[in-house]
Amino acid sequence: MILIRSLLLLVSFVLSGLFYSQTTVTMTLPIVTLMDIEPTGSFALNFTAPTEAGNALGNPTPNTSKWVNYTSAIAPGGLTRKITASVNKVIAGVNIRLQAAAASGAGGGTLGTSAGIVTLSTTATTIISGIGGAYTGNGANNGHALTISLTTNTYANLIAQANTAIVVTYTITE
Amino acid sequence: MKINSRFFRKIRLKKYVSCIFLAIGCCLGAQTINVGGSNWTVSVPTITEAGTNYAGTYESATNLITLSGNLPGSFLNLLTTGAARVSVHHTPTTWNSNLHLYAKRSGGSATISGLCVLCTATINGGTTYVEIPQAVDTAFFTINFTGVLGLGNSVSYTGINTQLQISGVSVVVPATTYNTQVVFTIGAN
Repeated sequence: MILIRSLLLLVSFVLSGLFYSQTTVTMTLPIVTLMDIEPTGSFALNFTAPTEAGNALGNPTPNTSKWVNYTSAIAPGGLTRKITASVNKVIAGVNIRLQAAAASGAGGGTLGTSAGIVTLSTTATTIISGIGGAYTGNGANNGHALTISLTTNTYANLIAQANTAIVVTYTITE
Repeated sequence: MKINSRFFRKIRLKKYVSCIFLAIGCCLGAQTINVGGSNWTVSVPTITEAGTNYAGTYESATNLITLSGNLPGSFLNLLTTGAARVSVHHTPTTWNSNLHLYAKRSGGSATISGLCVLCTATINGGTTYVEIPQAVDTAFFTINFTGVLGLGNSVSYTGINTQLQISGVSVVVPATTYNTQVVFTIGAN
């Protein structure tokens, strides 16, 4: 019995060395929700007056200079994000239309899906949805290209006006 | 009165044997490895520009960890290849498969103690990043020993600065706190 105990003691001494040692690595990735429109600045869309009696107004050439950039980091199992757009006011007799293209450029991750052509109003309308953990790349030619256009709707409601400033508000949300 | 029975002789013999094993046990040790320095909290910069991502790869200080330890003669005798191997793996608490950890060493020295003929001990490998796998050990560096062992030999190694690197950091990785333990193990190569 004593012999066995001694052997066990010997083994325990031999094994008492520190065969391994460890350190801890910790990293916290925060939730990120960032979006902007590139490049900044306003643009003008002008209807053209017809030169021939009986013809309709000429619609302005759509603006395609703007891009939506975003960075989105969501918690595990978190909800995807969407981007909505609204205008501060509507113009009687005019549709303000917006279409986000599919994402392109230097981005990655779960990028959003375009809702197609939407007519903007003072109520927020989803233009892109299903954004997960993703980034589009920064600046023009990265993200979702926007096509903004004006068309007439009810001619009877049209009123001649100049320099009507419309503010389009984009929001990223869950 | 003198007691000299066979029973008491047997008891005395067992005591002697026990003492011998105890003495051997006390003199023998095992290879050791110690991690000095600090834990690593990866400093991930805040993203301030929409559309951008994290840089993706971050490094600790070059001397985040200092490894040291001892290889006793009893262990050196067992080294058939003449080298001890320091291996590394990590054991996550919370992790993501997109994240990858690496380690590399710089510096360090190995010193032989005791009477030893033509003995050398050198630290080799691990000077470029080695990926640290989960659960399964991978070789980090070796401590090579050559010579004819004499009395009271041991090799102590000190000042092995170790730097860690993490890659795969992205907004695509779910936003939460990730935690893992990097485990260094020493054994025969």
